[in-house]
Amino acid sequence: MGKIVTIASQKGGTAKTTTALNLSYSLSCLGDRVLLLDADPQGGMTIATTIKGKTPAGLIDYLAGRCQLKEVAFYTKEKKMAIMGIGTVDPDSVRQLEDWARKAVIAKALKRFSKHFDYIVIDAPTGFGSVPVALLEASQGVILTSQCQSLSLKSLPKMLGVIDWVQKSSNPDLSLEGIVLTMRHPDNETENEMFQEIHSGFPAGLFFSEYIVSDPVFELASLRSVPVGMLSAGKVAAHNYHQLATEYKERELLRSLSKGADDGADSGLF
Amino acid sequence: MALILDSSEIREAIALASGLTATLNLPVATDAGKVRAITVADVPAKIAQKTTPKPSAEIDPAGLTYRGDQLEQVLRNMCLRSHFGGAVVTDATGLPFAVVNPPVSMEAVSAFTSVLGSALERAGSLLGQHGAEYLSLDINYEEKIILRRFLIHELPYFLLVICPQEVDERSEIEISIDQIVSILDKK
Repeated sequence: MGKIVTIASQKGGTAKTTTALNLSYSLSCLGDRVLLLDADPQGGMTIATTIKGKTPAGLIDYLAGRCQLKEVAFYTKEKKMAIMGIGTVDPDSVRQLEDWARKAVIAKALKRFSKHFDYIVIDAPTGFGSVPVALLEASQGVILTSQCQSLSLKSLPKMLGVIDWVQKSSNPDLSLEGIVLTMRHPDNETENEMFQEIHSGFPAGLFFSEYIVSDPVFELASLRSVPVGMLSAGKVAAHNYHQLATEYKERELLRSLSKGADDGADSGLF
Repeated sequence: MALILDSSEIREAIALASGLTATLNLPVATDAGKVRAITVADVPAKIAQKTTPKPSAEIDPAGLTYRGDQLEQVLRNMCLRSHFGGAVVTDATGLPFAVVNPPVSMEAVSAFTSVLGSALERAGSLLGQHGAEYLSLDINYEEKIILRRFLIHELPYFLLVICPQEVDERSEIEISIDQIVSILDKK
C-alpha cells in the first residue's frame, strides 16, 4: 500500500499546488511511483498540468462511477508519475464532493489508488472544510505550506489545530511531516529575521530545513505546464524540491528506524 | 523585541506544534538532557540497537531437516566465523529465503536487495562487464554492505552481507555461496 500525503494550508496562495507538483516530480525522480491528485475544486493543479488535454474527467467523475482509474489517471511522457485532475466541476458536483467527503467515499477511493503507487500526493483545497478534513482522515502524512510572512505564519495554529483534532478523533496514524516555507526571499531582512525567530521558537524539526526560494522560473514552468525540473532554467529551483524530497525521505527513514528501535516488537528474531 | 514570536497566534501555533511534533519522532534526548534533532549520523547507532547478539556456536546445516533452516544455518555459521553483522539470501526479486540479523525490516531488506541487484546488473551492462557480480557499499563509517550475485541454472540469486569495513570478506562469501548453491540446487 502506498502512502497518502496531503499538501495542505489554511491560507491560500502559499504554493500548495506548486509544492504538490514539484515534490511529486522529485519523489518520482528518486524512483518512487507517484500519483499526483488534484482534490481542490479550484482545479489549480489540473490547470497547471494541462491534464484536461488528455481528459476532462477526474476525481469527481471517478467517484461518481462514470469512469475507471485508468481513464482518469495518466502517466507523464517520462512515465515517472501519474496525474489525476479534479474532473467535472460545477456547483452540483462540488456539493456532491463534500457529501462524499463526509461519507468516507473519498477515503475509500484513495485506499484503492494506493495499491498502485508508492505515494499519493494530494493537492488539497485551502482551509478545513469537509473535503480537506476527509483527506486528512484518509492520509498517513500531511505537509503544510507557509510563506515566511506574518499573515501566513499566523494562520498556522488553525491548521495545526485541525491536524490535532483529526489525529485524536479519527486518524491516529496521521503524521505531521513538517512545514515547508515557500516563496522565500533570502534578501529580505524582515523575512530573514522572522525566519530566525520561528526556527528558534518552534519545536525542532517542525519546519523542513529545506525551504523554497521565490523564483520567476516557477511562473515560466506554470506557463509551460511542467514541473520546474523540466526546464533548463529551472535547475536551481528544482534542486530546492529535490532536496526537500530527499529530506522528506530521510525523515521517513529516521522515523521508521526510531520506531523500530523503540518498540522492540521485532527484536529477538534471532 | 520579537517581530512575530510574541503574537498570540504564533504562541498558540507553538503550543499545538509541541504536541504534534511527537509524531515527527525527530528530536532525541541527549545525555545532557537537552533535545537535539536526530541526524543521519544516528542511523548506525539505531541499526546497532536493532541487531541482536551473534550466535555462539557453529552447527552443521546438513543435520537440519528443512532447506530454509539449512540456509539460515549456513548464514549463521558465516556470520559467526567472520564477525559479519547479518546476511540475507534472496531471489532476483528480493524475496528472502533465509535471513540472519537484518538491520531493518524484512520489506526494506528485500527492496534494498532488489535495488542493489538491478544496480549491479545495469552497471555491468553499461560498462560492458556482464560478469559483474560483486558490489560493495559503505553504509556508514564502520560497516559495509556486500551484494554477491550467483546463478543456479541460469537464474540469479543474491547473497547480501553486512560486515565491518576492515574485514576481507571475499573468501568467506565464496565458501558460503558454495554451500548455499548445494542446498538450493538439491532435488
